[in-house]
Amino acid sequence: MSSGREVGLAGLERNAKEMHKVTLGLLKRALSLIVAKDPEERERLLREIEDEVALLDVLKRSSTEAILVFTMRYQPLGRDFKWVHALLGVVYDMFRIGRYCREIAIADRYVSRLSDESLGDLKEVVELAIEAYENAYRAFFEGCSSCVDVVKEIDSKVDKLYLELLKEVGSVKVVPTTTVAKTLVLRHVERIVDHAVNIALSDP
Amino acid sequence: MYRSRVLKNYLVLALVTATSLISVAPLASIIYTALVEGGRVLLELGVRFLVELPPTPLSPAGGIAPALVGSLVASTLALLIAVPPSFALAYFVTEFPKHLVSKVCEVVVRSFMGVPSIVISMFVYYVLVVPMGTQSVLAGSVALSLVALPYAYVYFTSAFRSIPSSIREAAMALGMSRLRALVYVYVGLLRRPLTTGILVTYLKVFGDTAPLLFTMGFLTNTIFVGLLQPGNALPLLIFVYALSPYEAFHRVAWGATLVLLAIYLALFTVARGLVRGVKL
Amino acid sequence: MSAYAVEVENLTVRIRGAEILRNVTLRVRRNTIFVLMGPSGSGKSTFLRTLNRLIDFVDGAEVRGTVRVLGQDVYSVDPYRLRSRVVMVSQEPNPFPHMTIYDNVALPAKLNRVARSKQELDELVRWALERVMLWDEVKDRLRDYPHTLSGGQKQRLCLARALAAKPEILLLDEPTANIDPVNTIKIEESLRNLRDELTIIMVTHMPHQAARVADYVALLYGGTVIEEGPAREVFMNPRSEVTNRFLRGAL
Repeated sequence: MSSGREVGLAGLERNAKEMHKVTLGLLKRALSLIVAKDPEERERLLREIEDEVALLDVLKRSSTEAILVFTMRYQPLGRDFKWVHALLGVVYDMFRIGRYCREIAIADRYVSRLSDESLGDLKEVVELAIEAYENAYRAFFEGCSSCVDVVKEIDSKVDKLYLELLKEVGSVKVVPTTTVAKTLVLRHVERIVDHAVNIALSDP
Repeated sequence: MYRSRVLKNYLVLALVTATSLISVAPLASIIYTALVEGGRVLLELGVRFLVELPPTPLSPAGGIAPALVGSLVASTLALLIAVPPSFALAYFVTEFPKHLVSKVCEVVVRSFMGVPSIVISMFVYYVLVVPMGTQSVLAGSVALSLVALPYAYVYFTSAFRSIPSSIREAAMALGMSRLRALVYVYVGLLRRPLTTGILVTYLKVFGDTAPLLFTMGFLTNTIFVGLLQPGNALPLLIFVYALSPYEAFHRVAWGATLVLLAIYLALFTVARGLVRGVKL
Repeated sequence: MSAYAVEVENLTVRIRGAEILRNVTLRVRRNTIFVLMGPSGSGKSTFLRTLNRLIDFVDGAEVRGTVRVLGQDVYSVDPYRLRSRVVMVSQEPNPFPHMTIYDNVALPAKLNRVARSKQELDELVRWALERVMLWDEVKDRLRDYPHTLSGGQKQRLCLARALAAKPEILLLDEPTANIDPVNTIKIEESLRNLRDELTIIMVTHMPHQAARVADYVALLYGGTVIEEGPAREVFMNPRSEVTNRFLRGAL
């Protein structure tokens, strides 16, 4: 027979997994935005991203409230305390990752279509972001310690790519819009992977 | 349905009241008779009854002075002899219940209560009166103290055993020794039961006749001659005079009965009024 | 002078043959609040009573091991003197009912000769009552009797009484177990403020109380010490699974 506390903890974990699904969905849609050529499909993806981000916002709020209510009610101590405290950060990180996906969509809509041929290598970059996020999820929720190393590796890789791009942009006087879009996306991906590192290292 | 229950209620109430009255009746009857018979004598003689010598067959008017003085002196002395050792013993037994001395005392002192007081009178006669060559107030006091000791002991032990263990622990946990705890905590806490115990013991010996039968003597020609000389006592006087053939003596006996009752009532009322209980 | 107020080594206590404490080794630093926590029946109260030798009054108690309090073996000193320096407050509020509030607090001070004049005594009583945050509530009725106080106030009075003896170590046996939350908080706050003046050893079965109050904790379970250390460490990073279960309320 589970106690209220165990039921509460299970509930918190369920909420977080719900958020994870949405965030992962957003990342995959961002990837699709880079690959898809059909304008209707692209329009649909952009709309879906907006909707999902709004949902993510609601989930973040309710998850945070659930965590605070659990803390208030059960006043966890020991490992429970650390886990619940870490979960607050993880929920926030997942939310931010989702928001950055939206930023990527905004760059696509207003700056330059990401499905442009010159932006083909962005696919690889976003795939890296998805890989980092999935590993981070497993590191925190399943205790996979090798996943932490994977995330860290991707982080240094992405940091390097980003830095190289910045240097490139800084070396020319005029920058085409595609390069601007590429810079923005790479910046957002760098932030996404940073948040993934946070999630991976949150495991108490 | 409801009315039958109301009826039942009244019936039982009436039954309970009746049985209470029946059990109180003898006491009420005693008090009534004493008041009527003794009151007659007291009203006639007034305070003189308390300060004059007892009557002789030839001079019927008289009082109970020697008996009154004798009772007061003997009972007080008996208390002074009996209370300190019984108090100390009771405390020892409660504090060290597993000690051999405690176990022996408990058995001995309690069984002492069952000894008929006339046997005590015989014993004191043999041990004190015969060597001294005379009956005396002292011998009477000693006999009374032997009766008083187990009573006082029982009262004191029950008082000490009623100390809540939390209070005991509080006293010990503050670093008090057993003696200090007794003096500063237990005595104050138990002032009502201790005083009641002393008082009830006093009244027991005040009204006890048998221990004095062979020990006190029967002084009538003067009020008091000394501890080592014979004396008198109210219960003794009542006993002797009630059995005598003279009407004058009977009247004095009744008067003495009323005085004895009055002393009992007065002491009880005073005690209950003086000693405030301790609210836990 | 030892840095430790209490040093216990391999303490084993049996009561009528039943083993209550087994090989308990603990050290309590001076001027800290040490909380011994554990579920009911784990032997915490027995441990406390070994420190001030109140265990002597328990029928059939056998004590083995070393217990050093304030640098001395407890079995080499006069137990009454020991208990006036190591004062204990019980779980059940037990002020002396036949003495006034003032007299309750003043008695240990008088017996231990802590105050030498009436004025000193008045000041000490006031100090003790202020330390337990009871002064404002009773200053106009010091001549009243304890039965007019609530349960929580009675317990604070008992704490003041203990403080007035000016002990070096204060032992508390689940002091707020029978007290309402408001008084519990007041008592806990008083304890935190007293840390500088004496060493406090408290026993509780409530992990949250230990978390609120303790500098150092030890978990006692089944008569043995499962884990001990600075409170922060034990509550955030318990090493033992038993500790974790206790903190979850699952013990």
